[in-house]
Amino acid sequence: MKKPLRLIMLILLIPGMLFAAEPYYDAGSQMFNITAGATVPFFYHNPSRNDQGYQGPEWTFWPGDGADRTHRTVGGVGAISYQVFLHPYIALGGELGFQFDFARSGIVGTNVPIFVKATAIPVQGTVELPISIGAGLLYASYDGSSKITFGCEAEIGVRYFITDSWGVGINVGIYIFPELYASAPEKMSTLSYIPATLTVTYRH
Amino acid sequence: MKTRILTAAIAVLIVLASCNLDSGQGVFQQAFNATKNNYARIETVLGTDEDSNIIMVADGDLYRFTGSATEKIIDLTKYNSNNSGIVPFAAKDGNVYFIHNTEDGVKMFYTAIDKIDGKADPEANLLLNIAGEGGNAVTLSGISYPSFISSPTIFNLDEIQFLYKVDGDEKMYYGSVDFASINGNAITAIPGPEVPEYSRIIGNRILRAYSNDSDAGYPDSNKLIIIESSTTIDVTSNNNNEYDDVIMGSDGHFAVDYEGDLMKINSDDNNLTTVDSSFAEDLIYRENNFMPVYADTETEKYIGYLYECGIYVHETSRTNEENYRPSLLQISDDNDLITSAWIGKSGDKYLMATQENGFWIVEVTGNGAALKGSIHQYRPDTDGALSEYIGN
Repeated sequence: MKKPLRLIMLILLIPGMLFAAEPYYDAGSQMFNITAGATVPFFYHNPSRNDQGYQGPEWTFWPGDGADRTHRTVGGVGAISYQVFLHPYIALGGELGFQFDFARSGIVGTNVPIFVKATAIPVQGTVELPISIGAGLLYASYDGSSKITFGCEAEIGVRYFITDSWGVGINVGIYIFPELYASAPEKMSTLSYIPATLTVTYRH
Repeated sequence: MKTRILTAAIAVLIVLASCNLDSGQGVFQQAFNATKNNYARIETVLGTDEDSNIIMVADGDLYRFTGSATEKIIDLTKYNSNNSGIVPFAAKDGNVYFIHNTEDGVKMFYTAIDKIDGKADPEANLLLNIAGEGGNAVTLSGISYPSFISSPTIFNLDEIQFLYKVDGDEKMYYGSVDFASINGNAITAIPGPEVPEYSRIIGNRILRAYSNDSDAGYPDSNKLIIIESSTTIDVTSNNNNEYDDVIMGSDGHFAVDYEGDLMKINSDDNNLTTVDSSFAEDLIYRENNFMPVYADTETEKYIGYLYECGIYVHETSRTNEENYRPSLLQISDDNDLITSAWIGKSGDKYLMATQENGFWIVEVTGNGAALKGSIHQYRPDTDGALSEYIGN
């Protein structure tokens, strides 16, 4: 077998090898996470920006006040989540979060995600590799205005269990928060963050 | 079981939220558009009141700028719908002058600023003496879509420019009002040439004309019309899109395309000639707009502003091809927020009104290689009254 082919085969086999290990969890196992960290504004998309008379690109990226930036600062995020394993490798549950940062005006903006969250843990035991996706409601507010809309997230991390039940981990992911309106498209825009967090996990 | 209850609860919340999807105030846009000073978004400076405060159109409403804050005088949005409504076009001698666009035609009226009290009364103080040049009456029966509110039409407070139709005539015309001629209830309107119906004022006596079958935002073809020299330049004649959406300098001398190339109007063949292919950064999001340029006759300079790039200064003595291009002065302050602007003058200091962050003082000194520029946000305590910079 040629070397590149062997390499490809090896890469394809890795997930299977990971899952082939004896699973730590059973269906019905539970997991509770407390998460805190920082959020970096990734992008902001306002397709109506120029139509509204504000000149600048529809897509802006990263924190800062410039015309091509998101007009948001690096902020903070905290969340709690509770999940139950439906399968030895997959847990499903809910997450309640709170994210904040500051707009160019210096006024704080907040987002409260209330998500259904699914986590796959292909590597588990003392060292785990959780991969999560979540989606659900988002409550966004700024300077007395508010909106209930939808959001989603994806996250990958690594964690180490100090005892059999308690572990700590680090995660990085992406939040995507589209502010949706059924009949007022001019008010629509989408905000995205990259959260980088520390997590304390209790499993049972 | 717990998971099912949790997911069911969130599903119910999602359904409830879906049923109420139109509630909300555009939260993300509000946060994005907010500025450090929370100033209203300046569109057009109209003049000053008797306390030397700037009177302007901002966020579609009539505002006063006191030097440190923007204060709404009249909520104009409640008077406006589509192309009709009440549009302020000048502030002078303690009065604000309005155009009232109605189904029955256009009327002009004025109101003393200190008697406005939050509303515009189109039935009071009607301007009856709107006379064209030579004493011929000009009846304005419609203000051009979409120029009067959305496009700056006052470039130097010497002249107010507008597009209009005459009763019984579907053609569109360019017209102007000499600011100095505004005197109480008398305004002299100067009729101008016929222009294509899909036109928009984008610079000092410069129009952008679109083809009839195009939509206003992204025209299939368009022209630049220089009123002063009766010049028409087709900016879609090249298929390489080089001129498809140029940004015109309000001085009528320069244009910048979306690649950042600087061009000048070539009077020999009525076309645009590139004089600097690396003049500015990509300006693609400055859709169909102008860059404000102030012509300073005393120092023989044209001073303009380029979004995100800085200030450019063109000395009128530089006329040959080799040194025709203006000097671009990089300004390091928070100038990337400066967009639509109006520029006034006071000696070697210039006042620049910006879209989002109020007023700025620009200083340009020296000539040639010694040319220097600086900019700082207007400070009422050290920069003096804004009216001193405007001089109307």
